[in-house]
Amino acid sequence: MKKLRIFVLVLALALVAAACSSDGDDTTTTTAGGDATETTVATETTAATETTVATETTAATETTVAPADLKTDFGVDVEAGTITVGQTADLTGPFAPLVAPILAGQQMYWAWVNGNGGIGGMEVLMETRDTNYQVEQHIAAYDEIRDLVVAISHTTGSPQTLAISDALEEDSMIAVPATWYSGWTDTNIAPTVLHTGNPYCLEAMNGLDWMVSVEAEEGNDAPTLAIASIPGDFGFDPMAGATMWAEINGIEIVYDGSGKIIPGQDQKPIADAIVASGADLVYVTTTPTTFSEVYGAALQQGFEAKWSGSGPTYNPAFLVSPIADAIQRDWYGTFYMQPWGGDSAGMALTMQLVEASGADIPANDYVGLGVVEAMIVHAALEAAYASGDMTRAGVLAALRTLDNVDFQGMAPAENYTGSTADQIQRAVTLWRPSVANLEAGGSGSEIVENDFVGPTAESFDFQEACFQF
Amino acid sequence: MRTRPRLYVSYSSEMALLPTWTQKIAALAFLAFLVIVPFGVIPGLGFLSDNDWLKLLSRVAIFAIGALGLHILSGLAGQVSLGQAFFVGIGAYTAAVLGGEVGKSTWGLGLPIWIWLPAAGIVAALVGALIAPTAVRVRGIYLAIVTLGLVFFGEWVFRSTPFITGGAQAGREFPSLQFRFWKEEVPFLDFTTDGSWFGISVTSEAKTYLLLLVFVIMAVIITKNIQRTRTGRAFMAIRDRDIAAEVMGVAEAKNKLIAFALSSGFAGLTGAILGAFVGRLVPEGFSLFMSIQFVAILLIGGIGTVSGALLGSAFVILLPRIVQDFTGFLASVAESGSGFFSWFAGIFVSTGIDDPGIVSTLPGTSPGLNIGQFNLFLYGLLLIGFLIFEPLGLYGIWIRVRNYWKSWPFTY
Repeated sequence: MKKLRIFVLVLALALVAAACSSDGDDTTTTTAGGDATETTVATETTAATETTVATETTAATETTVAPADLKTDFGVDVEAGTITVGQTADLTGPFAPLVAPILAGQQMYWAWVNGNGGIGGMEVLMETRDTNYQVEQHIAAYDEIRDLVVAISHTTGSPQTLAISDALEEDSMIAVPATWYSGWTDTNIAPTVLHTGNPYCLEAMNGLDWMVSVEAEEGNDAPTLAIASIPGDFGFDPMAGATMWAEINGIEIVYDGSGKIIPGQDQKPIADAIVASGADLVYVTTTPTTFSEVYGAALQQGFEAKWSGSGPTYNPAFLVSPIADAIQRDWYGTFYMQPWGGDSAGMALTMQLVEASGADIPANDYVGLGVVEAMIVHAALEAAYASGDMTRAGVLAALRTLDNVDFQGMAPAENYTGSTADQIQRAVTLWRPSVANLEAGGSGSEIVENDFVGPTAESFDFQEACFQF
Repeated sequence: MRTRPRLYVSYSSEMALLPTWTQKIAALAFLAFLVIVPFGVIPGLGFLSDNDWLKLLSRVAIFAIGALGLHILSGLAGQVSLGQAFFVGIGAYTAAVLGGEVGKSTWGLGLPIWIWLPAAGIVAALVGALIAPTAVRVRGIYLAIVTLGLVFFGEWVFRSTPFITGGAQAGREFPSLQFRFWKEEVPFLDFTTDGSWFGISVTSEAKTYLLLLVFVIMAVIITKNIQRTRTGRAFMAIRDRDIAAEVMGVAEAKNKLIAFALSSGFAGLTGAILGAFVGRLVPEGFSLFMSIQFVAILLIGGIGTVSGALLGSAFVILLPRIVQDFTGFLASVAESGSGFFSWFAGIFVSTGIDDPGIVSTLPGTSPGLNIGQFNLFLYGLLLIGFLIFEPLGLYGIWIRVRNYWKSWPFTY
């Protein structure tokens, strides 16, 4: 028994150490971005009043008291003047460094909404639960808050969100996922989970379209491709996109490691296979930690290629790590919206919010994403309020009337009406890692092109999810 | 005689499940309390009948069954095992294949619960018995390593068999808690929909909770009875000194095998029920962390006692929620009130961007750990604390409190 105690003691100490270190990753990212664009934010925001979200906000400020006949069920308390939105977020798991800034963005945005009269005079509150990126814990977290909230403004992870999608549908609860699985656009899958931005599958096509054009400029007309990913929807969806892209464009896949990257295991065999394939282009989708293991192991063998992957594969902290120079040379980044400091009214608003909050928030592309997520829910809530029905079903119905949810230029506008093909978002932002940008107080993501749609992504006939179990 | 609780006049009375009247009454009262919990009639504890709390309590029940299994192996027979998660997984996937529906890529026979639930226990027990001969050859820390290897092996197998498990990061659906005679459309007992029992309306959460309560009570009675049999005494003899036990004629290998099989069987049942309760599990769930959770339950509750396993389950499963609610409460105290309490709460919780504190209610912007991180921290800290200061766990604390009051006011 004594030995068991010592053994468990060591394990427990390891757990404590893990708990303490889990927020270490995000602290490595850069300094505060207080010196964001000096543009006259006020004018820009006013200028943006043409857009849906802003207009509705201004309209809402005029009403100060919620009408007595407002229909409500969960999460809206007219008497107390509060509206509660929930988040099932990975606060302690592998994506915690990316989720923390998302939640920060949401907090600042809702504080701003509340400061401007809220929604019909009601204040928006947040109810966050940790999921540890575990399916089981995610389900438990949703169970815990489902009766407290009117909408879910953030849910981390594709398999996790898929696991609660039936419950979400049962509750008529809209949910904004921080995952870009193409199934969210598919009206037959999880009808209450909303798509935001370019899905993984088309993102892969866009990224590869871009990389292949750069290769062509450099004189290589027949590049080869290696692909590798984590299992699950998160990994298989972009792999499906990359595979279809290769077929359409007649490009040879010299190594297919779809689903072969297993977190917590040795990644060297995958790196070795990529190196041995001699590919010119590598498309990888996994967690940032495992990506750095694969990429690092390939790099050590002197491998040089153009690398890209789904948004969450990359962590801005790479630029302050030993792989900084190499990643700057090799990574062709795609993202679902403008990175930090992008030139748009929405991003200016985000910068204004960060500055106004006084929080020591490092420059991070995911802060803006939090704002975008909150804006979608905000638009839905405003529309529901205007319709006089703020029940969850009412919010869902109101959302389904919105065909142009605008983000003031910080992300491509979204359509939540019509068929799967009508709703698909094809545009993505292209960017490159830049140490210079980082040193100048940015997030290290240098925008190459906004609203980019590659030829393959443009003509791709999207009728259903690219990948489905 | 009746007033002397420690005095037994016959062997059977000493061996009784609840030897004293006080214990009988206390057990009955506690049981009655647990049964009426979902009806929200208990003053001050009405919140326990909320669906989210009932689900938490159901989870406590599920983990208690697995913990009782580990109690048989570690608490009674003294065999350290970190392999509980593996057997939970075996049980879960046995249930999934037997009771689950055929998926796009997954097997499923759609058999009724009275087949898949016992089968989950039996298959896990058989696998346990299969592995036991290897495991009985090593002791202590070495056995811990062997069973640790089992968890990693299991995770790999579960990930590599998508037709059974649904595949890594994807998982599969599990059969639900519905009782059918065979494969008919309408179940005769359905725990997944709201309904009414004897004229009282009960939610599906309340039904599930009551069903799991029955399962736990059965598990407790079985465990208690095992403890009182020849086999149970053999387990304890092996635990206390294996060589001495063998000298006395206790067949070590055979009894260790039985302990392994029983423990694995309980774990298998836990897996099947957990799958049915949650609805969808991914292979990564049956990881070392789950095994540690079972060991933690025993250590925090008090190793070697049934009450310890139950107390530990309640503590470990409810802790995150209690911390969450307590932090929320402190945040409201810190924000609203003034005076000492508010000041004290303010030190602990960070409610704003420039408000320093240990725990932050605004993850991302304010300083301090977020609730999830704080929970992990607290979990580890408690494990260490119990191991160093109270090896008997919560049960040990209870014994000391009881002894203090027994001899009060002469407490020295």
